[in-house]
Amino acid sequence: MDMSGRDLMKITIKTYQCLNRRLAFLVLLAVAGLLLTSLSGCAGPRKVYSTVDELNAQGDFILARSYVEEHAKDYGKRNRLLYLLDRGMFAFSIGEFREAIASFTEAEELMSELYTISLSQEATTFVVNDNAAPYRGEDFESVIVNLFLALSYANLSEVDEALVEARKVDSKLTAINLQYAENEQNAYREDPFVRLLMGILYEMGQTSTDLNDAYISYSKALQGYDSEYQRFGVSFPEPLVENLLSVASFMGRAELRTVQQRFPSYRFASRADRKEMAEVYVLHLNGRTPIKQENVIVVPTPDAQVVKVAFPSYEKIPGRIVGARLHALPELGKQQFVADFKVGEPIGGIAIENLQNRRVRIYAKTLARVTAKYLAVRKAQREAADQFGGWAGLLTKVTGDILIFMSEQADLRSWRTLPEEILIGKVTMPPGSYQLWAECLDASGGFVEKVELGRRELKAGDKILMQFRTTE
Amino acid sequence: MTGSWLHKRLVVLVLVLLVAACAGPSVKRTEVDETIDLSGKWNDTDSRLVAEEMILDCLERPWLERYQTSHPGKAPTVIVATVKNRSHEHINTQVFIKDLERALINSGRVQFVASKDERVELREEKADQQYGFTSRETQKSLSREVGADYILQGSINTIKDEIKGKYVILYQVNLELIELETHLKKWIGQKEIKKYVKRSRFTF
Repeated sequence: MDMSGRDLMKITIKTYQCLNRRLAFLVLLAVAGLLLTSLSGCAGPRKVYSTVDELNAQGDFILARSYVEEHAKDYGKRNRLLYLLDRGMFAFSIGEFREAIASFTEAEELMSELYTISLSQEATTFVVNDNAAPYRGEDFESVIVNLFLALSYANLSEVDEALVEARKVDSKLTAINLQYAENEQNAYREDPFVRLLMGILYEMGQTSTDLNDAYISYSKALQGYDSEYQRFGVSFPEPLVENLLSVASFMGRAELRTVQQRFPSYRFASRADRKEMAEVYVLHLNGRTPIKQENVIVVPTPDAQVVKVAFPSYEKIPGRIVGARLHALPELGKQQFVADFKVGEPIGGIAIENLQNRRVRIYAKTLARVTAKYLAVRKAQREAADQFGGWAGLLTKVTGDILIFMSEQADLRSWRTLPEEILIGKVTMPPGSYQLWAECLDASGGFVEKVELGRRELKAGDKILMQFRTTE
Repeated sequence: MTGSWLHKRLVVLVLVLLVAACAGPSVKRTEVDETIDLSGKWNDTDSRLVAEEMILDCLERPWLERYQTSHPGKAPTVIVATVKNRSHEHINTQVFIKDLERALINSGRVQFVASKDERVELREEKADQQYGFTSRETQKSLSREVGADYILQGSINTIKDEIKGKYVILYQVNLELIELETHLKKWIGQKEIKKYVKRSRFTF
């Protein structure tokens, strides 16, 4: 059941109007009590984030993970999900994949549990603010959790477990897709980058069933980049086309013909040729995802007073690094393999769009709540004045207005330790020992920093997934 | 009078709530074969029931009778190899494999050899016995292992139909018994379990 903003406002106001005289006072008391609870809950993550943001910006993920673990309680019970996501993200960033898996698995289970809304907690959000409810996570966040779980398993060479995550992503994306009408625009209904990654993982499985799944994943990824990610200015990364053509050639002539109609002159290696080579996929987790800021507007009331209304909006965090180049130098021989990274997942763009899509609903709920609080305070003021005199009425009004002002806080919670974007680079090389590194570049193509990715012994048929993170 | 009565009732209520809030986890022993579904995911009951039913089916099929006819007085030797997890859940397939082994050996109609990993450990132990520390009478020889006649392998697959808050999941367990000498498939078994899991949207 989905209520429109107008319905929501009508119901809330009606409820408040139905309150009898005594209840009017009680509402005021409840607002005060809940405000205290709410403020204590809000202070937590905000306090934690000043340090977390700083450590994240410095790229000190080891210290950030320790800090988050030490301040787990400061997140508050309602923000346990954010704690788990942050802890998982920092553990992942420093290569502690078991720990990342534990955190992300718990986060995924919690997201599932929080599907059930507590009516008592939800009612509180109509009286105090949206921070009074537990943070449930956005749809795209729930999918990205599985992406990081899959990557964690892949880093531990547990391909079967990584594939379980891949299947969960398939199922989740299908469920998310079903929420929207076919003609609904700008909704997070498909994630081509996750599909691409899942295709790579399926290919690691090697069986014909896995390759069939890989073909479907790559095909959906291509469709997604064509239809969904154009609006973010992101087109399909090169490895997607190469892999799709290769897997299509394994599937059969009809499948290959379908893909080749789109890419007629694209040269690709067959599955047999690829088995003789090693493939290294590197993900560049770049920048810091936008964070929510509070926008406050002051609305005049009929009695020539004003009330505060607070909404969240995203603010981008500009980063110096905008691209990277992957290098692989063989131990024997001088030919260096080089590949450019390309944006695959515009996380920041998805987050901003996601909030914009909910904007009308957030505005309607906020206005309904502020209006209801305002009416409750005015009613309480009249009752106090009638029973105890003008001063009591004035005191009630002043207290109530302060409470409204203080309690109106925008919900600024989000998974803010995510990167702004994920780029992908792929090099295909003969088997051997290679030194790998990435050169990070600024907007003008200038060198910013070198990230060592270590030495790798690569065998024929190897498919390696690795990643690095920059927050500069 | 009324105030005092109300006050007492309130104190009792608060105490009850406090006791409830402070209570630790409650633990109750249950029978191992008792069915308890909590999350709706694949659990020990699914594993046990599927293993028992499939092995029962496997042992009732003609391949066993044919083997016994061609090898009078000899039970076929089976090895349980891999059961691949191709599902939407992180399933510990070792639990299922052990359930299969248990159901097989308890039937008394086949014998089966130790698994690949177990054999590595057993060979290490036997190799250790050859160094001269073990008495000759109790020393086990290296080349008397029994080779398997059949290999049992399979997979756990799922089809999940999900919308927010509820899903239907079909677990399909496929097992195949293959003759090692000829690679002929002697038995193919399939068992399906369907579950409907729903999470309520609202609670108080």
